[in-house]
Amino acid sequence: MKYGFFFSILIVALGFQTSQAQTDNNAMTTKFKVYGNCGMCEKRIEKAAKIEGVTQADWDVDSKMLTLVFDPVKVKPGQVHKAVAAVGHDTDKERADDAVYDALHECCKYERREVNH
Amino acid sequence: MKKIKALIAGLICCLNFLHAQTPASNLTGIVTDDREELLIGATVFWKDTKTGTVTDTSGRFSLPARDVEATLVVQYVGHSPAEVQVLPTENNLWIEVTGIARIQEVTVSGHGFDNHVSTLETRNVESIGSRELRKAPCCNLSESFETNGAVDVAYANALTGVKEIQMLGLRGVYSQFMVENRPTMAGIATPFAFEYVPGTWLDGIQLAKGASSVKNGNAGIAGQINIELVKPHLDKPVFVNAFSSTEGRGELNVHLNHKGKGKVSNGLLLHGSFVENKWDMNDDNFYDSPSRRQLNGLYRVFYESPKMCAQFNVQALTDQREGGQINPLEGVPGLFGIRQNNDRVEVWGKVGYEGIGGKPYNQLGNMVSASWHRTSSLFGPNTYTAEQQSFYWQSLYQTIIGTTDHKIVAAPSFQYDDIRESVNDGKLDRREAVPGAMLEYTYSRPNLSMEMPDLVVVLGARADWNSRFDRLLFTPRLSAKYNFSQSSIVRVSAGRGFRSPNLMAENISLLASNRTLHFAYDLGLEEAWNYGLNFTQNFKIARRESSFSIDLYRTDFVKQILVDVDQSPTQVFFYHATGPSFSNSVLATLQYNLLKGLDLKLAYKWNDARATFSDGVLRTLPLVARHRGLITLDYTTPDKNWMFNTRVQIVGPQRLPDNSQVPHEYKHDFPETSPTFAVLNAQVTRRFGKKIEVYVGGENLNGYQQHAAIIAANDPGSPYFNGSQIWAPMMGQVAYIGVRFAPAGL
Repeated sequence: MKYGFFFSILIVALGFQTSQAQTDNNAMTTKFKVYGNCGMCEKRIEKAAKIEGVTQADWDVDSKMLTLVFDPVKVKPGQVHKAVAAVGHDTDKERADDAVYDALHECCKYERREVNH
Repeated sequence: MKKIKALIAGLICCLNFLHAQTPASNLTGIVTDDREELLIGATVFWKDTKTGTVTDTSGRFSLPARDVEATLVVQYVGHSPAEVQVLPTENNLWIEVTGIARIQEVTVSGHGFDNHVSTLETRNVESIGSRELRKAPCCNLSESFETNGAVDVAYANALTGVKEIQMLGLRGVYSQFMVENRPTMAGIATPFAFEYVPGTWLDGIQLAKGASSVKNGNAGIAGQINIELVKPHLDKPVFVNAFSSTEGRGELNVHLNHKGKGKVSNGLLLHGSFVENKWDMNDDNFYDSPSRRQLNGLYRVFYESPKMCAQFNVQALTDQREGGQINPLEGVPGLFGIRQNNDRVEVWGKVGYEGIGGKPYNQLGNMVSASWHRTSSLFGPNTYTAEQQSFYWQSLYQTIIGTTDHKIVAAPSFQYDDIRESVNDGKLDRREAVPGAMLEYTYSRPNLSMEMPDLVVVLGARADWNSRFDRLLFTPRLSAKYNFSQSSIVRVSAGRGFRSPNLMAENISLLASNRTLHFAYDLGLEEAWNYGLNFTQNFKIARRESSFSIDLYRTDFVKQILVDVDQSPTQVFFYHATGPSFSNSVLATLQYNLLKGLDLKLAYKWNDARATFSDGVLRTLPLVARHRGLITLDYTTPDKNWMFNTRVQIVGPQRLPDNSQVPHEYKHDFPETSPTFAVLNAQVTRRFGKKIEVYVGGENLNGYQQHAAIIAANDPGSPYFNGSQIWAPMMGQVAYIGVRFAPAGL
């Protein structure tokens, strides 16, 4: 009986550990640059980045870095690059369609890398 | 015993708890390339340390974590090192490194063609970027089209130094001028609009050819010219540009911008320029170019927050010109002097909202502008004075129907102009109020393999009521594009355009002559239909980037006001064309990146502008060249410290107005048709470090000049006196030097 008490604590303790491990296991963090200019862009970028599999998306307007927490089984960073470009914001991997960029509010228009196309 | 067990149990739980709270003692993650392939053997280390680790066969790494924010460096052969700022709470990182070959590809094609027609954009819009604008001195907007084949610039007359543009074979007044999507500088300011935008204020120019969007009104028969100005949060904090030329010209531009830590940024753009020369190179007793003085300032305030953005702008300028006849002639009293004074103040603001109703595609924008302009001119014995007050408001709502494949824009607007104009004793006062509304629908058909819509159709329509002519105007417009591939596109456009004429202001150059003006009674709105076709193809020649583009446009006037200078050399008649009146234009452009940093452009334009005059004869319009050519060659060194630009403009024969009845001693060697000629310009730009840039160049290096610029220059009192027939440069060779300086980096 004495051992019973000891064991139960141990099991709880172990259980604690494994449950912790399970929540940490899949999630990965990645960061990449998303070109944009203003507070309005922040909302747009973060909203677009939260596709299926992304649990957190945080864009910093000064550093222009988007920090993502995602499940690599469900989604890959490349898809988030595309999702963000689809709403008008270039990344170093994906370029937004001219027509979508032009539709951005004037104060959101950032300086784009010039690309031949 | 019980106490000890409890203590141990508590300790175990506690330890566990602690374990969960403190950061993992190791930072783990994976490294991939930009194709998301795991990389084995990539080096991973903290930036300030020497020791690190290497990724294993599953691309995984593990190294001691830090308890403060630190920089992690990842290196892999053939790839550019990646640096990641890691917070102590972050773990399980996914880090991508980019291949150097891909970076070079991005950098080289990142060079691009500075003046390009996109293969993605629905409308046929040529974009002139800031880099293109640095290839020529571009002191003001009128000089910013020198490297472009679509817009031609020429002096409007021999006396005021003002330039006029031509697009699709039609005079500049048939193109709508806009600053940041806001129609402006119409009415009495039209002849000077391009001189009131200093070159350094320009962030870019978009030339939309043919029937474009109806968002900004029903004008724009030949196209729309939209200019973007520099913005305080994107421009350099301090920028200074000084310029001087052998033409006796000096310019100074100063930009002061402050990007607020919070939500407000503001900027002040100042411009001062003068031209002082007492030259008469062609020896006709008239100054080749008038003395000029201009002071121009713009103040911009930008505010933005997550929900909305707003801006407020004020521009004020004063511009004075003085020139004309140099010495009085024997026995002839007085001087044919030229004087032109302009003062202008314009105020405008915009407020925009996004994400209305929680949806990112719902946007609402409002813009309001008001301007006051006063001009007074003296042309020998003729006086011209005018004052204009204008007001413009537009509200624009954008949303989607179902999916982003269907976009819709609706915008009501209101334009009001109050013009008081008088020429000598005649008054031409008028007021015009134009309320209107537009609707535009865009359909985009997605193409998964191309990763963008391959077919886009834009249907727009607007209705305006014009109070001056008491008419309801309906303007339909259509634009469509089809991509054969990402590098091959065809575009069509068709639509109607109207124009409310400002005859005196737009033809003020005629006052630089002694012609008497005759206006017909029934002069109303001008109306035309424009049809266009564009094909653009990007391809490679010997593995180097190249682009070919061809434009075909036809403008068919339903009602056009002709300025008939042929009937009589001492009179001008304004009336509606009595029969067909049209302009056909073909522009073919080839751009080729010969070597890294070396770009060649060849452009050829064919114009056929004809109208039926009062005698029922269909004739070509005077002073429109049927053939024009442009060759530009530009080289930038790899370190970007040197830039060499050359361009040759070739202008074919132009029919001059009928001067057959002018006595020979007045017209000297004025031809019936001007000869073909070429003009060569060249410039060298050298950058020193990151803060200073010096540019030196020459215009009209081959010195081609129109020697006889003024008819009856030796008798300005005669009815034949005429300084408005200019077909070639009036100045010979001009050399210039300029410097650009920005303490925070150019």
